[in-house]
Amino acid sequence: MNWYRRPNATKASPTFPATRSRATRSITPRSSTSAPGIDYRDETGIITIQPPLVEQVLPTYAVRVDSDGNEYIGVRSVLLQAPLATYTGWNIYAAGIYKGQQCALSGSSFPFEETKAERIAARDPRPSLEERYGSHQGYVCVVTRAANEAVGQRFLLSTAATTLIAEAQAGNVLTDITPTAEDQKVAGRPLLVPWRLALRRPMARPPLQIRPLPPPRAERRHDARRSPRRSASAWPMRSRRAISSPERNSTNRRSRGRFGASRTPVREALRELASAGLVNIQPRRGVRVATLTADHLGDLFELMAETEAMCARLATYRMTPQERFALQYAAPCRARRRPHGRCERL
Amino acid sequence: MNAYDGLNRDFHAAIYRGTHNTSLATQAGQLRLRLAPYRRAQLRSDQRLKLSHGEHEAILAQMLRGDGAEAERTMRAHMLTASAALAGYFEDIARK
Repeated sequence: MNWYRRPNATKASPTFPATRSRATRSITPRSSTSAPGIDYRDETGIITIQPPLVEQVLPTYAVRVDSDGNEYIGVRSVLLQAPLATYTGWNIYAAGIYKGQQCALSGSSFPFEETKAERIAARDPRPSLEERYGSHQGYVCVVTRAANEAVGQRFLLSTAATTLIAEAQAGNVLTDITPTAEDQKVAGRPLLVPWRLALRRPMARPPLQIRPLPPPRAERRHDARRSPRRSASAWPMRSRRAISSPERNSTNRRSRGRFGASRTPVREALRELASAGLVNIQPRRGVRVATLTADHLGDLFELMAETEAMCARLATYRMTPQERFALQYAAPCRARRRPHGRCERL
Repeated sequence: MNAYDGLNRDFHAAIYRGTHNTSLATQAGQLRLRLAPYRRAQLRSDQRLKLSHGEHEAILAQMLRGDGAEAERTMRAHMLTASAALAGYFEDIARK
């Protein structure tokens, strides 16, 4: 851990920016233990020596901070990724008998100046909001990106992200600044749609990753030895039809409710669909119907045609008599249905 | 139609096995599995079913005759007809 001894004064510290705030300039937080001076023996806790003797001063440690004075280790919240101030996890009494000492359980924030001019006037070394974000739209953009990233990293719920973005949009950060032409172009629509929302909108959806899971071991053996007919016919038609909308994000739990089957058969069926490339199983995110564009389908059919053609040619030359007979038997020609079970026309 | 689908699969599977090339057979099988639902869709038109019968007979005849090159051409045509039928089927759906 990068614990740092909290500086006594901001000016002396390379890690904490000097701000004009009086409070930060007079930071002298101290905790002390004052063991003796209390009468233990009668358990009354009455202080016998007044004021108590200071036995030792405990140093207070604070987290290492960046040039804004904001903590940079650990998981960075959306607030810290789009800061409007220097946020601390501690606060100092500004007045009273505890003046200069640490408050219990309260943090503090030292807002950034709005414009560069104001910042220079205030001798604040931290960049102003305008220098950071340019405009209100720019701020919203940074918040949106940070929120999306946090959702992608699974640190934030998408509903929370939506709220944060909406709050940033509704807030008054840099609303006085006239937006540039470019800002106006993007105004009104979110630059990045939260991940979960994006799933519901086909246009903004990220490219699908088609990565079918390997079939379970038993199934794989079966596939290698036999024709794929059993697998294909084993698909429950109901599930094929029900999971037919590509926008739908179907989960095991929901399918289970819909098909009245228990979890395992549904999962097996889904896995089989995945191995056929019809659905995508994303770990911990659920199962989604794979979308095939017309072009992709065309490609697949061409590949299929060429492969089949190659098979036909090679098989013509390589088939054993038994295989030739099996082929005749399998050929779905009408003549085959005659009593002798042979294709008499040939 | 289901009966036809089964026979169709057996016919093609028999050809895969006839290649005596395991990799090729596996590849073709997987591809077929992948396209199975789409291929079934195109079989829904009755005419296509009859045509497909005829095409299979032609392929079988050529293979039994030992004419590999011709069987290859016929098979390719057969598969491409199937995909064209599918495209037509999708168009019909879109129009409805």
